[in-house]
Amino acid sequence: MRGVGVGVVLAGVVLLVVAGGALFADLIAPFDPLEQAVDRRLLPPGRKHLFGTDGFGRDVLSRTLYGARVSIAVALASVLVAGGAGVALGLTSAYAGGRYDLMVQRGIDVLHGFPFLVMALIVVVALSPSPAATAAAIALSLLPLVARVARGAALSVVEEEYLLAVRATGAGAARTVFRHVLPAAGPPIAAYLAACLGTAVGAEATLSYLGLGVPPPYASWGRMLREGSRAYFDAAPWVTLLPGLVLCATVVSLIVVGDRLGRRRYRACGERRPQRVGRPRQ
Amino acid sequence: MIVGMITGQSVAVEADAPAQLGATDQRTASGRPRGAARAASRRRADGRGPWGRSGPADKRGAFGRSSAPARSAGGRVATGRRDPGAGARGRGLWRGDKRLGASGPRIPVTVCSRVFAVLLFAGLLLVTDAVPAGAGTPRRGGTLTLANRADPPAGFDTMFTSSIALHHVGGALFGPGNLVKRSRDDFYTVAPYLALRWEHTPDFKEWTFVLRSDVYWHDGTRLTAADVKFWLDLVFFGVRSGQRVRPPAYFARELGDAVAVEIPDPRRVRITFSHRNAHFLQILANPRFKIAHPRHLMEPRIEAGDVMVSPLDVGLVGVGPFRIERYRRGSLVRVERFDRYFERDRYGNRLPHLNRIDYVTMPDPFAMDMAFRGGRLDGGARGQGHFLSSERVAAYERELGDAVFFARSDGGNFRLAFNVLNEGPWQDSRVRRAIALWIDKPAAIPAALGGFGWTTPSIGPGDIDVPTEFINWPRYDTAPLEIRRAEARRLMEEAGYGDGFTMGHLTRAIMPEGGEFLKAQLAGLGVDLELQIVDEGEWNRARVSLDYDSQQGRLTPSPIPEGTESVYGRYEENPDAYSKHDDRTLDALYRQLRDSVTMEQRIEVWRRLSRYLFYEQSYIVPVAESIDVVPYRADVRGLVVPPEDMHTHTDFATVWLER
Repeated sequence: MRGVGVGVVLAGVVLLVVAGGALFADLIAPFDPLEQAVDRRLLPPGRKHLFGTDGFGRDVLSRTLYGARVSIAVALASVLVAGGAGVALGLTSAYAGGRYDLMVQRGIDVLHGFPFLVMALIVVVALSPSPAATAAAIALSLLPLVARVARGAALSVVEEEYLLAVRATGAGAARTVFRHVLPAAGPPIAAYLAACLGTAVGAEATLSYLGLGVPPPYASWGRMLREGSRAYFDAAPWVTLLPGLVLCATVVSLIVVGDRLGRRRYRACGERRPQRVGRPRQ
Repeated sequence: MIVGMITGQSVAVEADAPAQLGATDQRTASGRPRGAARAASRRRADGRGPWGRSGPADKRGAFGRSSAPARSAGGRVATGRRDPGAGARGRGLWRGDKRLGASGPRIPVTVCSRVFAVLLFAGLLLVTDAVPAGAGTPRRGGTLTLANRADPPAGFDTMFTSSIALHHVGGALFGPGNLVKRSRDDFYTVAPYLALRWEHTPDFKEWTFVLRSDVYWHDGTRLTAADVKFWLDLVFFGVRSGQRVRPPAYFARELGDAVAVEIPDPRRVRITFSHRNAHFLQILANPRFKIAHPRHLMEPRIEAGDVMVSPLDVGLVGVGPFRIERYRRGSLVRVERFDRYFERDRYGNRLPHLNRIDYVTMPDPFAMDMAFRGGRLDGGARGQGHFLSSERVAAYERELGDAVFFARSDGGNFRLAFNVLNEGPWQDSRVRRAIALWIDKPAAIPAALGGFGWTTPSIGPGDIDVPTEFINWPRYDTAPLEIRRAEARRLMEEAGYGDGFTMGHLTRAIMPEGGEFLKAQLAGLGVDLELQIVDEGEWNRARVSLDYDSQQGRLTPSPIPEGTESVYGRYEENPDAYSKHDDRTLDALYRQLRDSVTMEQRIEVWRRLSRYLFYEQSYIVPVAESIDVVPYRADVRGLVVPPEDMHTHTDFATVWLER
């Protein structure tokens, strides 16, 4: 554990538990997440129902575990899509320069100009609420950010002399970009994508909270927060708080791990990470 | 004045010229064998409550309903009934006699002044107790701020929508009725509104109304018989101008088969029907049938070819107690007192009491809760999703204590309805019956109705003397749930759907609980309910279409059996019918119901009709009757809460503020 902070270890444990819970929900969830039992509605956390029950008498722990599947799957899918498209755009834009770069950057400006929720509303309404639509909405809002970071990272590489040598050997643009620019510009991009996972989990919860995510009765963390906070928060706060805590822990853990990965990558590249901007010490 | 009941001979009826509430509303003509008011008082007398449904607890299911006014989770819930002292307290609802918010001036802090202050304060208390702090005469003035569930749809046109988002606002603008209204003192009594008196021929085919002479539109134009004829013509016949067609109102068929509307003289309107229409008056007294169509403003537009001109297009000019002051689409409807409004209260004061009402559009119930609990609203919105659940009532009470009271009213019927015009297994009556048998109906009350409700196989017709044992569920299916479910499985096997099937299910986004409940229920029968969750705009479009297999919701039909044809009848007659079917047997049964004259006949036909509809064909599966709960601030006085149907008494004319 040398060199790894307690926070990072804790975050890793949380992520392992959440990912394990999501993967093996079928085996470890104590109840069917959709099974209703009105005689058990709004039970507080106890031995039988560790997280209590919701307004339909459904087990909150089981729904949290199944909800993790949705949240993590949507987050992964959206980061993969945004990462793939954003990196490709950013790298080619930095490498090609000129009019292509200008056009790509203006396109990204336009995408960036849409507030996240407006963009998400447009996409989800156009595709009708579903996990795929949610992932598409999140990916579309992450794409310009990833493209910017990728372009910035690539710009510092494309002027390197070894790329001149690569070109001199007759390598094509695609080969140059993806075999030589990407590995060099990769560390900050990878770190950014890791941090994006946390953002994506939070965004999925936001959309589900607004009723734009997974349709009921299927569980997702955001939907559970919505149902609990609007209908039962005073009577049964655990319906909201416990899934909320899991969501919060997951997002924070993803950010902590992403940050750690970023630092490691910077160190591996022999660079010094820029200092955080803040109030100077007295 | 006469209401309701039918003697088989020509009857002339008359009310006092000034429409004073209370006095005129409750009197009935002598010699009437059975009337709604009499039935109501009889029901009260025999201890079954005003609407005759409070049977023994064991017949009312696990969540059986009683007529006690306070039955929420430890809460004070006002029903439409008043306590005996309500008159003395200014038509306020029963909610205890606690005084609120007495505050005195700031007292200087010295010994002498403390003594003086105590004496002064005691004196003030005595004075405020002696003189009406809201206890007696209603106060004039003030602004009532209410939440409204959505922007009123359909251009505020009451002929094309029964949306509560319109009618919550529409009562103030267009009044609580049309020619007649439901009495504020007894919901099941028909009272005069724009008509002073009426008469009918012995065969009930011709009804003549004599109009008041002191009714004005909000632009100052006097209401005439020609205006009423214009409205009735639009309702019954619609308009055709070249290729453009304005269809009749959605409730036209419910009112009967009118063949002509005439004006014998400037104050009379005569309606002639092709068949006997014995219960026309009670059907007409539906609060949804509001006159929102000024002839002098709309007729020129229609003649110019704009047949679909709406009340909004002509400036929302009505005859109600308030006139429009401001309308900001999607955010606010502000109405102000109309000084030429004709109604007076029981003390002879002109109505309305309030200066203004602000209806703030709040589609989100959570936002409404926050606004109310934060002191920004005087009353909640009416409508499913906005009606409070038991948990929300408890939260209001914890936070606001005595500063809030709850108006409670029997709400809509939560039901599953099939579109049998769409191809699928649900076209088989055995499948529909199996679904009806399978659902655990009492479980719907806590899961889907917020904890307030009761189970019923029927609409719970309010003013028909139906025996309690007929109304309360389960009556068709008295066997225990396990046995019913075994029968349901047998029926599914017999119909060839033992392995189940998938069925689309239209669900409103503002209240997905009903869909979630039914999906979980029917999963056990092998029916996979695919929820199509839609917003209000899409719901209003889809519910009148055939674009779904089944739907679920809580809609409120008329409180009398004759008034239910538009919701239980054929799709061809009303696209907004609960169930989409083309069963002409129901036409014949409704015809028989309309022809029935005695109460015994009505009951007999209604039993046959409801058995056919809910049991033999199971076009509609009534799950449970909801109880609607709306919060109001304790200083909102004079509110009239109907015992059922929150579309009624939305005019707020009698409301005043104790501030």
